[in-house]
Amino acid sequence: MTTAMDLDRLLVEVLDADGPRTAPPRVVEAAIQEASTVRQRTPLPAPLDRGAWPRPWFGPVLSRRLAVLALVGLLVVTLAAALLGIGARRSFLGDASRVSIWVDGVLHVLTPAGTVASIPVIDRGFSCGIVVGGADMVATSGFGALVLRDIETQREVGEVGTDYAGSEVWSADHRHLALVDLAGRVGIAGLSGAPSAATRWVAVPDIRSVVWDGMGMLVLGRRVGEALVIERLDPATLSRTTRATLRIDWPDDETYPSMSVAPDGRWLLLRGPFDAQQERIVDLATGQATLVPSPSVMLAVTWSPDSTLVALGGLDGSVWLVDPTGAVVGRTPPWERLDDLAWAPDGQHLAVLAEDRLRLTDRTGREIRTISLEPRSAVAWADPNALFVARPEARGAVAIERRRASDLGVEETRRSSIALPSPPPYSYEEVCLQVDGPFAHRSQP
Amino acid sequence: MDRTLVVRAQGGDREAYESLAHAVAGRLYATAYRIVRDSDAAEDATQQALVTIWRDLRSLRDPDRFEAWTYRLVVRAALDQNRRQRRAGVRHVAIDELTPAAGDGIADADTRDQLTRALAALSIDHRTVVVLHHYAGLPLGEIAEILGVPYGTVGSRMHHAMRHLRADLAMDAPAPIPGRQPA
Repeated sequence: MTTAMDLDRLLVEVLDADGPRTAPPRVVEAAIQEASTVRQRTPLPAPLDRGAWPRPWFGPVLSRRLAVLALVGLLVVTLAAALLGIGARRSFLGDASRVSIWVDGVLHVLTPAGTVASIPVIDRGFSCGIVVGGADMVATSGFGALVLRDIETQREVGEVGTDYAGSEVWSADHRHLALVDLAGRVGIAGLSGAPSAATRWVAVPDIRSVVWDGMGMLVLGRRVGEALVIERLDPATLSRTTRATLRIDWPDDETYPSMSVAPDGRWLLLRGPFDAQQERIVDLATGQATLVPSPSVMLAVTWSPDSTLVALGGLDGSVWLVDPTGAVVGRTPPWERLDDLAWAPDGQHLAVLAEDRLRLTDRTGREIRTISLEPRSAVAWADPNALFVARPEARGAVAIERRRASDLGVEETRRSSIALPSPPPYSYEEVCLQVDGPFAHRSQP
Repeated sequence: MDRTLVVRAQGGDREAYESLAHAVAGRLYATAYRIVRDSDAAEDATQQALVTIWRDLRSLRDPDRFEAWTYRLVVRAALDQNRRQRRAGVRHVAIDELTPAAGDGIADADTRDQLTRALAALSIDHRTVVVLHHYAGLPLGEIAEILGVPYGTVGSRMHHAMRHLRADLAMDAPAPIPGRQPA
C-alpha cells in the first residue's frame, strides 16, 4: 500500500521529472525585448483624483440637483420623524467603530461619520491581509511591506517593520500588531502617532508562532529541540514567562503550529499539522494540554467571547463546539462549504456562513434561523441584536446590510462603489469583512 | 537571488534586469509548465511574468521577497493563459497521451504513470497548489500569499488535491491517529 509519505515523495519525483527545467532562450530574449519598450511603473498608486473617482453612495448616476433634492427630502422626513417620536432605532454601525470590506482588490471602509472610503489596494494587498488600525489608517501587507495609509487622503503615511517577513498578527482590537522579522525578532507596534517609530523589537530565538490574547498579551510558540515551548510576552515590559512545554510532531512546514487564544487569555487552542487532526487545548495557567476532537481538517477556529466554548469549523463543512476540557457540547451537520463563523457578542449564538446561507445556531449547534445569501457574502456582528452582511453586487461595488438577529430581516442597506479605471489584475474569490470596536471580528476561513 | 541585482533593477538598471530575467526564467517556465501542462502557454506565461517583473519591480518593498513575488507573477500569468486557452477552445494534451519521463527508479513505472495522469486530471487550482508545494517547495503560508487567498483556502485545495490523487492511486484512507480520543 502506498502511504501518504510515499505519495509526497512520489509527487516530488514525478513533478521534477515530468517537464522542462529551463526556459527556451527565445522566451527570455523576447521578454527582454518587450520590456525595453515598457516603462517601469511608479511604486505607489497615484493620489486619487476626487473628481475622477466618484464619491461612493451617490455614484455617477445622481446629478447634483437630485442629490440636493434628496438631502432636503431626507431632512424634512427626519424632522417629521423626530417631531412624531419615530426613528429611535440604532445607528447603522451599532456598537462598531468601523466596518471594512475587502473585495476585488478594493477596500471599502464605513466610518461612524457616515463616510465611506473606497481604497484600491493594488499589488501589495491580498485577501484578508488588510486591517484598519485605530488611528484612521489602513495597513496593506504583502511581499515584504506593511504599508500604512491615511483613510481620508489615501496617501501612505508610514511603513512598519524592517526585514519584514510577512508575518503580522493584529491584536483583538486591531490597534496593535506584532511582527516577526527575518532575524526571528518580534516587533510590537501601535497604530497611533508615528507607527514605524513606535515599533519595539525583542529577540525570541526559534520563534514559530505569535498570537494575541484578548487581554492585550502576546503568546509565543518557540521550537526547542522537539518541543514546543509556549510563552507569554508582556508588550509593556517585553518580559517573557514560560507557560507550557509540549512534545509535538514537527512537520516540515514551518508555518506550524497555528495557535488561537481564548479572550480571557487562559486557554490556547493549538492546531496540529494540516490534515493530521491533532488539535490540543492548553491550559496556560497549569501548562496541561488535552487532545481535542475536531471535525475533519480544521479550517476555522473562533472562541466565544466568554471563553467557555471554541467553535471549530472543518473541511467537511461541520462546526463542532468544544469546551476547554475537550468535551464536545454541540455540532452542526456537515455542509457543502463553510465560509465563516462569528460568535454573537453575548456568546449565545453563532453565525455560520455555509452553502450560501446564513445560519444562526445556539450553543449546541442547533439551527435557529437561516436565510439564503448570494455566493461570496460575508458576515459579522454589529451588536448583540444585529449583524452585518456584505454582498458584492458588481466589480468594485458592495452592499452592506444591517440585519436583525431576531429574524435576520434587513434593517438598512448601505452601498459603496468605485469606478476603477481598469480592473485590478486579480480574480480573488473571497470577500473579507472586518468590524472594529468592542466586538471586533475578521473573516477567517 | 542576488539582492543587489534586484535593487539595481528597481532603480531602472536594465543590465541588472536582464541578469535577473536570465536567472529566474528557468524556474518560472518550469513552474508554469507544470501548472498549465502546455509548452506554448507556459512560454507565454513566462514571457508575461518577465515583462511584469520589469514593469512592477518598484512596487516590491523588500528585495528579499523577490523570489516569492515572481512566483506570484508567473502563477497569475499561467492562470490567465489557461483561461484564454479555455475560452479559445485550445486542445489540451489528453491524459492518456501523457508519457511520464523516466525517473531514478524509486517508484515503478506504473505508479509514475498513474500519478502523472492523476496530476493532469486535477483542476488547475488544485494542481497549482500541489506544484507550488511539491515542486517549488513552498510552505502553505507562502502559497497563500502568492495566490492571494487565505491559508485555509490553500489548505482546503491541498486536501482535496491529495484526496483525488490518493483515490486515483487507489490508496487506502489514512490510518487513525494513535492515542486519539474518541469524539
